[in-house]
Amino acid sequence: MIAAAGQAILHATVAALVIEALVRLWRVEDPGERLALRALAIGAPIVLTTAYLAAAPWRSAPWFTDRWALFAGANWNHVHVSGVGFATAAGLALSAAGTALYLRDAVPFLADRFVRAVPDDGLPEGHPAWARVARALASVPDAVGPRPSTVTVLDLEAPVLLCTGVDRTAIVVSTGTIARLDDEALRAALAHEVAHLAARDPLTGWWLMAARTLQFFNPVVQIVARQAIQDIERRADLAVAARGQGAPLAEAVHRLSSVADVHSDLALPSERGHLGDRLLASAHRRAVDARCQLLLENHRPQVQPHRAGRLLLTGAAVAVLLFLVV
Amino acid sequence: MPPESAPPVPPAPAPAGQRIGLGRLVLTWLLVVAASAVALRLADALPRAALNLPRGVTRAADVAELERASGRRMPMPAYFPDTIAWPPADARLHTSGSAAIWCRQREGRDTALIVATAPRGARGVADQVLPASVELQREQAVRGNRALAVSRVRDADGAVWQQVQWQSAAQIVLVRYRGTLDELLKIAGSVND
Repeated sequence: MIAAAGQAILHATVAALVIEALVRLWRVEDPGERLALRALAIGAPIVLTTAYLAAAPWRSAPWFTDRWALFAGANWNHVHVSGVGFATAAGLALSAAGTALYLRDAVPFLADRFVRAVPDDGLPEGHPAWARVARALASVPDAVGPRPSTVTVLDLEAPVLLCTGVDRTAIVVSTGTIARLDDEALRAALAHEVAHLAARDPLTGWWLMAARTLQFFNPVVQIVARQAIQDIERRADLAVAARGQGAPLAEAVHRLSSVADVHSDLALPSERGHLGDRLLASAHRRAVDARCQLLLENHRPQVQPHRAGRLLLTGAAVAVLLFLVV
Repeated sequence: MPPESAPPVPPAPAPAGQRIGLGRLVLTWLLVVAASAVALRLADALPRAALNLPRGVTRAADVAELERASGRRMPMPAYFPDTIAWPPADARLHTSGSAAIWCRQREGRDTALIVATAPRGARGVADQVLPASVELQREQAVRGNRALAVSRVRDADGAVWQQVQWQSAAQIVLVRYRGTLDELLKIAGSVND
């Protein structure tokens, strides 16, 4: 079991590094294509590692590891750390790190959906806050995406702004969010959520969480999945920025990200807590600033030709290399 | 702000000067795959280089583990010179099935006796389980009912070793000794194979 988990972590590492190198060298800027490539890195340890372990168990035999394998993790068990093989020790430590990363994101994700700490009932349609959201939503260009099936406005001081649902789509927004945004920023923020719904990102979010749950011990999958989420956000940002609403969206991101206890993909944690949290928050702050900067610059990614060819070549490279890594 | 009925903005194709053509795409892919393969090979070789273990060789903790791993009994000489320390300092197994124990001198740290085996039908004992050496001389001899290959080899430090190898009913047996040929023949003669 530990060996299989170790191989999954090793495979995810190789796949992620190869894909990251190709993304940079091929200058892949389109977040949709980046997302597709990162899906390969996330899916590889689930599909390929499992398939190889089941269909080709002889890969771990000495004749294969000695003559054909590019890398055999078991070789690192010749080096001992406190009486334990290095590969085994590294596998255990990385599994613990992966589980911690998974729980850090999974608990809030599931809490937002199943044990939401906000009221279930929204304000009535006649309420001024609801009317303001409805006006803002009506002014979102149709080109961004279809309107959600339902809109729920929560009477809550904490900022909430998120979209859910695949077939029955919904946008949930709180009075705390509405109070912090002017009309332009609110419209841009709602347009961002509409863009998520148009791209069926809630479904992608569930797929990502399912993959992360299957690979809860795999820190590389957890990190690449976070990069994939950034790609999803960037894609929705671009859809809004393309309508000329990059600056108000940047304003909304900036305002919501600076508030504690926020429930929105537009925001990231504020700086507080222990040193580790502050370091992470600092990194998050830089990520928010970079996101706002891209929105303000209205930077449009350049799309390179031969997208299908790139996906095919990347898949082939990952499949071959992982077969030779045991 | 553009009119709200404006069509979706298409993705911006890369300018002609920055476009990556099919040839460059494939070349970059080949380079990344090759670089990854080399990096993986290097990472694979690191622990072996650190422990001075050739590829395909694993260490066993003791003779019992070596016998379990190889699936063959390790022949032990009944005559063991007093100058040789026991237990063996090293027990090595190669993926080809070759196995060897390395014994050191009681005084000093140099290896002085090696007993190695290979499965019956193999070409010989794999070089990987033996210290690097150059054969200086080889002769065929018969001692008792055994047909021996007697040779002299020089190791990487320039020391000369005596070596005998024969085929028993179950396996190939090799004994290499850093001492006189007479002493080696006494050791080899006492091996119950």
